[in-house]
Amino acid sequence: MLVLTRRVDEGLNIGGEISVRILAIDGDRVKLGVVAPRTVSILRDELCQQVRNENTAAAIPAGQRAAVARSLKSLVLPAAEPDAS
Amino acid sequence: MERTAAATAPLNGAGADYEITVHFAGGLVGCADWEHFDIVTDAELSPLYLINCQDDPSIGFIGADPTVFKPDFCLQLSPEDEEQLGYPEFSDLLVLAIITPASSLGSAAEPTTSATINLLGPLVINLKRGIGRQVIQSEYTAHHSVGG
Repeated sequence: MLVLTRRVDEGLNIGGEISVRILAIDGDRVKLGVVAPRTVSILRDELCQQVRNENTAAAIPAGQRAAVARSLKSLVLPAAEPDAS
Repeated sequence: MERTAAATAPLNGAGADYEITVHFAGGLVGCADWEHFDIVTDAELSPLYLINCQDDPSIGFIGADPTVFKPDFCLQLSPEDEEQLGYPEFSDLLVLAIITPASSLGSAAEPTTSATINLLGPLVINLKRGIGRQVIQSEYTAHHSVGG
């Protein structure tokens, strides 16, 4: 990990296309400005972490997937759309 | 842009046997190695979908149209999301939220009464192009109750 010290109104550039600027500091809160190409995804770390954890928790082993789907369906179907058969 | 996921409803119709291979460039959020998925449903499974990872066959999910569980669910795509998805038409989109069974082991013998659905990170798929992206919807929870 690279650790840098920056002041307000200073910034840094990543890979030529992404620049991060320190806009303001208020106590333990730091306001950042990020300029990046539209194709670069910028997300709060904690949201990414939450989705990552949930992806891992939701994974079902191949052999059990269809069976779990069946038991889930019996649970959700009354609330879901009726079977048109 | 705001779009309601309800437009995917026709794909959830009973009897709609359905299989598509989808490429998620860069993988799922935090899971970069999981890029290619087979998405399968049929009359028996509907409104659920099996989401099987080709890159690691031991990885797979069960998903559903989020509006089945949260009728007012509204998807927001950023310009970046739209670009990554190839600027899809409304009618080309399939939106699937991943269900987390009560137990991560997901035993069929155990009723999954406290299963939840992840509305924070739904999978959005451009059916015409076979490309998808897991988009973060920060106003929704990762643990919406599936009921039952």
